[in-house]
Amino acid sequence: MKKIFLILITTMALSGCDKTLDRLLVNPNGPTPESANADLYLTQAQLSFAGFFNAASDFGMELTRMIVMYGPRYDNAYQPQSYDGIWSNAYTGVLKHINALLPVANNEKKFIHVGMAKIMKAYVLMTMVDMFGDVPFSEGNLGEDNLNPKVDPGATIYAGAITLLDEAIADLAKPASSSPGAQDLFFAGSAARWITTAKTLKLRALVTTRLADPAANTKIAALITAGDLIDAASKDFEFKYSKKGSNPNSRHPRYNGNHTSTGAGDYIGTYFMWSLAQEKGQGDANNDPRTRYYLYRQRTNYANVNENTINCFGQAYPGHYATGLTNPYTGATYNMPFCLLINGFWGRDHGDNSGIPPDGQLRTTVGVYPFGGRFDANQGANVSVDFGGQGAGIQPLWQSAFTDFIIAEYQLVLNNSVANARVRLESGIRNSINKAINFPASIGYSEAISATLVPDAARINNYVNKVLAAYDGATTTDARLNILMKEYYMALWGNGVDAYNMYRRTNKPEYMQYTIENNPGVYLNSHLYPSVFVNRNLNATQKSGVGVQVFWDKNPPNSRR
Amino acid sequence: MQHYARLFLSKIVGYNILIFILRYLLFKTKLKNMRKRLLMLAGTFVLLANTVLAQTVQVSGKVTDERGDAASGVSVTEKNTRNGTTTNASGNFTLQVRTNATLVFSSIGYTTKEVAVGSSTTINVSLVVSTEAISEVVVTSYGIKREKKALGYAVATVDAKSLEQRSESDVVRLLNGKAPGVDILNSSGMSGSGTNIIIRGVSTITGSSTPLFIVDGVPFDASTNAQTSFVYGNTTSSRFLDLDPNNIESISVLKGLSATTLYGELGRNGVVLVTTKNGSSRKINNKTEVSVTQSVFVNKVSNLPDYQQLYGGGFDQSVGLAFFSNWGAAFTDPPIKVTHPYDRTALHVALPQFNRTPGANNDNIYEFKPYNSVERFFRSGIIQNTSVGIQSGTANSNFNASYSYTDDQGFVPGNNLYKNNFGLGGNVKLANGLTVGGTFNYATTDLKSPPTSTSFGSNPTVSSVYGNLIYTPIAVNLMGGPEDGDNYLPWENPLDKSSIYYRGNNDIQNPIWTVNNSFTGQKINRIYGNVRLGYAITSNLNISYRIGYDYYTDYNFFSQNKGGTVGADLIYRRGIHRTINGHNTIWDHSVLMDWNKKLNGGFRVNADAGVNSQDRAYAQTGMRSTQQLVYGLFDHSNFIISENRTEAGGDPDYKSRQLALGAFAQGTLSYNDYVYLTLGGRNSWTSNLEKDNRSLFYPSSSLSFIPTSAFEAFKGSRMVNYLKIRGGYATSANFGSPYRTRPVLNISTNVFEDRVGTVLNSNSISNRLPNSKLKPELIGEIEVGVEGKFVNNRISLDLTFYRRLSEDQILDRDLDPSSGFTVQSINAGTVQNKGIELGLGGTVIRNKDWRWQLDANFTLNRSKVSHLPDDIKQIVVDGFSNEGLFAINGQPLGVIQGSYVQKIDPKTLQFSTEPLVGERLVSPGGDYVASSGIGIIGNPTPDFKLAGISTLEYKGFSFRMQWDWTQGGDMMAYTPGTLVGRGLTKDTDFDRLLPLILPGVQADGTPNTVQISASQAYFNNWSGFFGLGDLIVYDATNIRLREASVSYALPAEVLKKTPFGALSLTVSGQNLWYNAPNFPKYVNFDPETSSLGVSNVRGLEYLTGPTSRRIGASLRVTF
Repeated sequence: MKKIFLILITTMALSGCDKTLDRLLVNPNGPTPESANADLYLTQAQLSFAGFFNAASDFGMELTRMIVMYGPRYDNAYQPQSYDGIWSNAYTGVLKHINALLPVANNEKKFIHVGMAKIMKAYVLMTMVDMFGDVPFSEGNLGEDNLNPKVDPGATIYAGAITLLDEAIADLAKPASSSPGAQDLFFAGSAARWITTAKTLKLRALVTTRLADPAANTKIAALITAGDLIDAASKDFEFKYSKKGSNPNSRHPRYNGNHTSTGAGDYIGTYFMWSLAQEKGQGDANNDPRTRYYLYRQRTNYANVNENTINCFGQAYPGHYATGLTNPYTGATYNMPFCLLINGFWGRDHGDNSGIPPDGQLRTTVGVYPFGGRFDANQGANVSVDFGGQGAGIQPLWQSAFTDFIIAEYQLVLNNSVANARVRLESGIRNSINKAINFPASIGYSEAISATLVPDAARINNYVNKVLAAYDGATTTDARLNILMKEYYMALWGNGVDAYNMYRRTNKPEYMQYTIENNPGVYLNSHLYPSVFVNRNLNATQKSGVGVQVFWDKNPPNSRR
Repeated sequence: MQHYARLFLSKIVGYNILIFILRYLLFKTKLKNMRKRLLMLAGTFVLLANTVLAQTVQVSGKVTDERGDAASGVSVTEKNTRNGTTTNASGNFTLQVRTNATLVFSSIGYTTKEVAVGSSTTINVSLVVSTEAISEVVVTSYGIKREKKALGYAVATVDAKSLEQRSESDVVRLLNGKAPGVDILNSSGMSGSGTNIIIRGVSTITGSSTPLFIVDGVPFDASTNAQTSFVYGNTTSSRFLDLDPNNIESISVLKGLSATTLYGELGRNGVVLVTTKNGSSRKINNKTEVSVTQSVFVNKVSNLPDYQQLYGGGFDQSVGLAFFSNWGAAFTDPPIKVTHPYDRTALHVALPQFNRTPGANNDNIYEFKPYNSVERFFRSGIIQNTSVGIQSGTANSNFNASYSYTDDQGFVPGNNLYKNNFGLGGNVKLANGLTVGGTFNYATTDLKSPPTSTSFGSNPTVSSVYGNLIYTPIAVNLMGGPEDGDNYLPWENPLDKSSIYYRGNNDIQNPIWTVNNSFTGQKINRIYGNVRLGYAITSNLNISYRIGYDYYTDYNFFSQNKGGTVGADLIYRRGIHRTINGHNTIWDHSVLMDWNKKLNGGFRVNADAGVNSQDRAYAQTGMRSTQQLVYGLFDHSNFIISENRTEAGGDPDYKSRQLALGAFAQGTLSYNDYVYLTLGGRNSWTSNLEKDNRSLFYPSSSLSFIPTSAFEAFKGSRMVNYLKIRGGYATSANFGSPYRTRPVLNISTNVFEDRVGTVLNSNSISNRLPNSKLKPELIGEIEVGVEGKFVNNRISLDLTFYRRLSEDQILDRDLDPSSGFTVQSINAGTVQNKGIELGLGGTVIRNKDWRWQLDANFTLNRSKVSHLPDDIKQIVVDGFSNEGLFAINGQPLGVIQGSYVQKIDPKTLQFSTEPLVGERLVSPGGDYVASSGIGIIGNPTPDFKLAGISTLEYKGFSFRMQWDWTQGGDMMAYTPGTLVGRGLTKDTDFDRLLPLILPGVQADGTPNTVQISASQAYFNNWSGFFGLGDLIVYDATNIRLREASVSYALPAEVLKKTPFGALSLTVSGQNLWYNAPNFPKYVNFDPETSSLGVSNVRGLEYLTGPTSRRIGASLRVTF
């Protein structure tokens, strides 16, 4: 009897416990998804987007010698896991939150939110194709419904991205219930600016894919005729960081990595520094007027150079480097730059994977433009955490100068107009130089910049004329394109995404520094798939190698190195 | 005393009963009329007011053995009741029994004797050595006591002798090698660091495999509350550190599921049953015994590398003092002089003595010569322990109190562990038949340690004491003082107290600065214990109720002064103070009924049934402050920025609660005391899974058969004294972690601040995809075994085979982020564990003066992963995704995967699919080519473990040794890789001018002929840096003298004239010697560490540091 009673009591007690057990299923550490908010999603998407661009730009800058690629070969410069971060950020950072934002924002008629989101989504999709080729798109981001998304052809994804841009233009034209205002870290909620951005990105997409699109010529001509493109600095599409160093750290990530109490983290590519400081002439009067804005030298001489501080010191000039080249700007004969340059420009050669010497406070590092570092006024002083522009840099996603250069490319290559291209070339150089010169003031740069170091009109004209003379002196489209693309390359500092696209599309500029190793393998025409994709997705297969080209790259695979 | 006890207790509602009892016990001597008081006390229990009291009588006596010596520890019970006691060291006992009762005397190895009490109150008994059955009583689930012979499963018991007076204050580390089937691994040699304990292999891929700890019958939290990933260091202690080894009476390890079914899913990883002296029911009749133990030990580094003394820092024979690596120029006599490392602009003001005019060689003042820095870095830590125990009892009650203090200094400066343990416990059997008991324990643990974040043999990403120490270049005078003149390298900038070191850009944090300025630690305040009530409803039906509580706060901190040089400037280098307060609570209730009845025809039934609820709640809050204002002060108000983040960026605020309910029953049917059939089961309900999947029933069955009792042939046999054959099948489950079934939105505030100061917040969707269909993981285990005693009980054997299958694993499946998520808990995969456990004992010598006992414990476990679905290619169990420990179909759980030297078939020139098969591919530059992907390059599971324990006793002397042998098991170790790859140990003191050709083939299949320098060969290939993981995977076979001790106990005759009851002195040491022959010889590497801290898996080492060797003495006095 007693036992039965006990069992009865137990049963009753346990059934009463079901409610307690149910209650404990709910995670007390966060709200339920129903409380999601469009503004808060938008912030998440934008920050992820800025991070995405930064990572993509990093790879591109390394592959175009702006910053060092350790290499030594193209096929072992990056392991598949090097891409896990950018892949995760693309899908779980940007795309997932944009997909979550769209229904919420549509529902609340927040059409600027919708348009912004679609533009960022389109940008990410195109960049993923640019980097990896075919990637998950139609089957991506479906959660439980598809845990092993298959890839779509790159061309399909590009078409999808252009559709998204068209949709965004339509959405942005609709009356919105509210503007994101300060939540919009690009244009403070201006629908007009976003429409201009969407149209310009369409133009960018068409130029990028022009080799694979027989109709590119007419489509591009139509877009140029329609106008409303990013053609002035006030319309530039850029993510703006601030000087806030902690709680939260809102500085440019590349500023953070290069301004520490033990020195700089990145090496600037020897070739890029040479292009600024030596190729077109030495010293302030003759070099690139942007040099002091782009780069900051911690040492202005080579007093500290020895075999313990820079590995290439004392090493023989690589036998496979191109020598006896003719400089189109000066007419002089030159050899491909190697190791040390002049005046303390301290970098690293392409594909140099030797050990890292204690040179963190000796290397040349990124400058005030566009990273928010310091203007190089020959200080020759070590970097520090709160330095120069204090990290209030930008991610230069698209600028008026870039519009000039891709239109120039169109004019020269597709429209066969050497003169129209020349106009755009000049406009592009001037827009780019002005952007750099005006940059310190735009970020509240607090140090005085001596007027004697700021390039004046004469210096700028000198530079422009030197380039135009070289352009005029070129006799073939290919040679003209080389001059054009070199200037585009110089303007793209901070934007490795378009630099890498440009190089694969045009194989220009010519004679960028070779890898230190004589036989680096085929150029990295596209990145391997990330390990998180290959190892976790049943439908994923690693590509045969880094020589695989993306759909719009119709150049011979071995046409560049 | 009473006042303080009350102060502690009165704060907890519901403990008035215990206070009452304690007060009563404390003042019992003053009580004139015990019987009256007892009745008053009993009267307070309304429930039992009408109980009739039986007539009792007190009997006492002495038990002796064949030779007439006192027989201690003999169980004396009143027949057919649970009333009983054991004899003390002099063989005496006292017991309150009913008149006309029969006393049963039993002890291992002796024939059980029954004596009727009759009219005599003094009963002296002489026991004879048994030639057959042994009726040892062991504690099983929920404190149920059973004769060991009735059990159909293995139980390992470790007694106090193996635990007390040791230098190690972590109970679990002391169990190492003492119980077959139990695998214990220290996370590091730091005092207070966490400890892995795994019983019968790991049966879950991503769940927890820490066993359930039951202290005095109630659950005890044994987690390791690491606040950051292992990358940030692993000196977080495991919470069984809060137990005092000197206060433990015994530990039983229930290994198989047959033994743990009644605990349900909580017991799936095995159960460690700890009985403290305070919770013991051992009675000391009418006597008070006080014991005091004082120990002092020295704690030193067990072994350091043998550094070569021929070459200094640099590369390719250069004089490169500033290099991390030691491939520089040969030392000369007299030494050449180089520019002082501190002759640099940044230090010219602070340290003008090193500022010399450049040029003309007058700036070359620092001698390039060997300095023996590393060994001078370590210290001899002193470990002190003081323990006091009081045991007192009357016929029907006992009372215990204990206090212990431990001060354990690590061998690394800055590593200290302090522990205080207070304990009270008591039992009283009231005249009305009600028994009341309880324990109350208060423990404080205070652990401090320098940070030990992982290092790959280069600068660690955050502060780490070992990160830059072990590979200090030979010519760096780390430990020098001002007396070294121009060779002195101060470790801090005298002006701002920042770290300075030998590299020009000051990018290495000086290890001395680290130990003086960077601190991690934990402060624990813990209260745990239980209250229990028992009542015999009839002579064969008992009911008991037990409530257990375990509450602790865990104050966890990482604090570093400004002036460091690693980590982000604004997070680490300008000072950081991160504090987290955790609160852990367990409330456990259980009601148990026990019934036994003798049936006709030699049958007997023994049944137990009960219900249990276990409520575990954990919550923590924390803050991280950065940018210290005034050097030296760690207070959040002294920092400029305070954020709700950990140093790794995570949210330190977290809470979780799990409720587990269960109803269980178990019955044993026995026949003539030689066949025992046990059937049992438990139904569990959990709060971790959705309603449809939250309830589960687990059955169990086991059989024990004793041929030596069953068959006449064995009777009187001196060869086979006892034989038992047993087998069982049982099941269990794992309900996984909480909150895996429902989606949640993450909120982050203050994620970005724009140029005009607008602060942005965000919400985000977790990367964990919820799974509402998650089911429990099902575990089934079959075990069979043999136990026996042979040759006059001189040889004992306990052999077990088991096979455990764990299906429908709840595992964290990594998702391709393109699905939108990165991880989901799913049911998939099977883990099988098969193993052998063998305990073998032999009494080599047994006579009047000598006794020599040899014991061996053998453990073998093989695991295999299977049934992972095709869309899960592999699962990272721990480590990194490109270098870690994985679960892969057909492989043992936790194989090492990493990149490796690419192998090719020289004939076909195809890359090998097997990472370790084929010729090594050499690049045109002469170095090995790293694979582009990862592959299996090692299996960390040892082939077997064997522990041998020898105990030799001569009169009062006892000499004890424990040798452990671990055979096989791979380890990916960066310490040997770094030391050899950077040219530091004697393994590299060959003539470095000679070029080397790496064995292997070139891409065209021909043998490699490229000559490279020694620096290049070693640094680029064996340092672990360049993705050639298989070159730093070593076989971790090791043999070790884990413990040795000599103790002497003064004979009783000598002590008679003194106030002492016993006096003994023990000199002992731990980890006295080891050899791991398959690591580079001069690295002297000890593989008994794990950089992963407390984890399911092992086999990765990222400069975790050396292990500890402890030697000292301990004095124990009782009076």
